[in-house]
Amino acid sequence: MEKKVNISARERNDLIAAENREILSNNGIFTVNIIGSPGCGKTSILEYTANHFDEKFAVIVGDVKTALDSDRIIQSGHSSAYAIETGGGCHLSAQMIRQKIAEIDLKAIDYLFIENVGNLVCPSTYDLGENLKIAVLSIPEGDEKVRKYPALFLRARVALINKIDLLEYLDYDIERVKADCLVHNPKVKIFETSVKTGAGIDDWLAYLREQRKA
Amino acid sequence: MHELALAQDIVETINEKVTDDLRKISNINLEVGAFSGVVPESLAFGIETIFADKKVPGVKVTIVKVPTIACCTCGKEYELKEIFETCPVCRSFERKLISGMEILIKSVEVSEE
Repeated sequence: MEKKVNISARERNDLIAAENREILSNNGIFTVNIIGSPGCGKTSILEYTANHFDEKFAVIVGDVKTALDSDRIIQSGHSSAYAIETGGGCHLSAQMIRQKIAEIDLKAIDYLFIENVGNLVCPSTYDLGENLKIAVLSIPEGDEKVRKYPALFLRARVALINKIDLLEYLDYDIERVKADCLVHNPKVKIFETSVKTGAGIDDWLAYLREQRKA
Repeated sequence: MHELALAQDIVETINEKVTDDLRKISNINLEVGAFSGVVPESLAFGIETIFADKKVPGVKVTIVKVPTIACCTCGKEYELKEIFETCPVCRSFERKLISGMEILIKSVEVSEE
């Protein structure tokens, strides 16, 4: 006999994500899920943030292997950081975040940054319980990333176009990239950033403060 | 390649919500949206592989592909096959997606015994 089910395949993850969101929000924490290619500058942005963001925060970093990136954040001396080694998994799940936030002193922080596994496909559809999903692009990757990876750009509320200091050396049509972002999400907020020059980072951090208050 | 992770979640959901005896399952019917971010064939392969691994061979996964329907700010609803298509009435990109993102376990065929 046919039994009706009508349950989302994402429900198991989404229920835990909803609980994560409640736990974090109850502690006044604003959570950001950062998604981008390997090498786009996710960790560098967080390092720069650790040195320049006058707020209390922690970082969770997902990688297939090693704690190299979380060690970089810890070495800044301004933030705690926690590594998740997926051991092959291509994305973080809400359950992985649940286990990790149990280790964090949630009363001591106001922001939680989750650096997802470097990948523009799989992490984009997994809700972790964040308040804000952001995409990080970078100039050396080329200007077709938005068109090639729609799943992320349909869902991200913010896009950081990073390594903007390299724009003068490379053929990169930034106006087209911004237009492409807006086609995928007409409400997307775009920041042009560089951790080499500090360009755009203050605006991005100011935006975070506004969003946490909202 | 997150289809296998989703396949595991689907099997666990069926195990929890439909039957605790997976050997009774013969067919699984899914609906997968065109903009869901998964490859339907890989998802079906993943589910069938998990069942085979549990010594339950022959489980068939049927996937109905759901088109992406957009609702333009002008009120027109239209099927969005490509992201860069505009509204056929007002040529705008400003829209909400009302279907096409889902991955739904629709129904399951279970033997009576």
